[in-house]
Amino acid sequence: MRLPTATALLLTAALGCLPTVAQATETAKLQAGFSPYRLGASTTLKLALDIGVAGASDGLPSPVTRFEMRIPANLELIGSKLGLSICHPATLLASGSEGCPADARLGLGSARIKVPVGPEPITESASIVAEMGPPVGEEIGVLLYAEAGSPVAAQLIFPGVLFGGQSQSLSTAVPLIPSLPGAPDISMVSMKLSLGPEGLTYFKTVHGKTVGYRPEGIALPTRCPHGGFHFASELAFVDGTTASASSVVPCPVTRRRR
Amino acid sequence: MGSKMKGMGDGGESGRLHALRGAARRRMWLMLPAATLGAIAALAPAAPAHNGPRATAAKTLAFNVNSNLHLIGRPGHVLNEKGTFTGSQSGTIAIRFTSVSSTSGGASFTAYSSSGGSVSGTTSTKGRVVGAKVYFTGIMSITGGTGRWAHASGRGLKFSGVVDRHNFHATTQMQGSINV
Repeated sequence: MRLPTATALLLTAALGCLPTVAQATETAKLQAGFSPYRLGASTTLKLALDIGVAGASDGLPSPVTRFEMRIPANLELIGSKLGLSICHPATLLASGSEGCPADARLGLGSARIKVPVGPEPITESASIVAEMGPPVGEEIGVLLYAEAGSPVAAQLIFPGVLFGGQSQSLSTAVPLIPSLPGAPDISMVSMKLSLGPEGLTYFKTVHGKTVGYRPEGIALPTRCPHGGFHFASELAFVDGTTASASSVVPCPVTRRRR
Repeated sequence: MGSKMKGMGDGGESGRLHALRGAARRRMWLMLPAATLGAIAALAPAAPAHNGPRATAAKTLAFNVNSNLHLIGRPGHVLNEKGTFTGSQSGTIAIRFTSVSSTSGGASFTAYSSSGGSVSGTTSTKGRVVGAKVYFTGIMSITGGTGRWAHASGRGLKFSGVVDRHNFHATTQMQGSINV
């Protein structure tokens, strides 16, 4: 489903043979981690997702239409001081993430996409900024703003919803990114996303002066849950297939005092 | 002791007055426990009738209070807040919010009345996040208390409020009635 608000400006350099995408079994690999990793302390949650094709290390996976990231409930984003303002999708599209309040920013990331032009798909990188969006019904709106440069220049918004409670999850719709008329849509092959203060600067007024500061991130619980922190992701592809992956951040090793 | 005996034995005007005052004082002392018992019965009419039927009917009190709270400790999945409340009752209050931003959060509280005793309750909450503000609503149940609220109970009280994530200060409103 293409978002009516999303705009994709295509600047393709060369026209060649257009590869066809055969129905394939997509695979997903998820890696989760914390930086820093200290129980009871503020942290940045790091997620890395790799998408591939079973049996073909360099295959072109079907474009992702939706992904869901399940995050342990005790890592509550709203229990942090991240996303204190709201960034509106219209502002994002008009001015990019710079147009939004700095303290709406939740995290940063990147994605690697494959543009199916020519006999070999071209790999391209896109930067991602996660912003606190307007509420979606009763849920928390999260906007992932992706910006790619060359060969395909595109600014896209992946609208997401953060569901809280006992099964906290970030569910994000991914708009199809057209490459060339008649050619398959662009495929995402990997995504890295950090949710937390790492790389973020918020601003506040102190004695009439604007001061930058690093916001407090997601608080890790003081006790590690049994079996560690469990993360899982589920992806839906345009060809109708799905893939899932999980990752566990093991409990930190505690040194016993003699 | 000796002088009292002497005065009582004298039988004069001052002695009679003294005896009258003493009798009045004794009556007062006799009346005090009765008054106290009456007051206790009135304040805690819902006490279990271990020794027979209750002397008074259960009493319903309005519980319409607003509280102002600040965070204790670090913010996270659980928010421990403490503060004061005013309204139909007043005092200090401690609230523990769990997953307040979600549509399936919860909170438990203990309100310590400035006139003695405490009342406790729980509520499921439904939160809505708008930037830095987390608005929540819920329906509260009174689970018990201490002192004059020892047998407090109640259901269906309205609970609402907002948490400001800039500093995790919270304000809450509780509205309803409690059986005591």
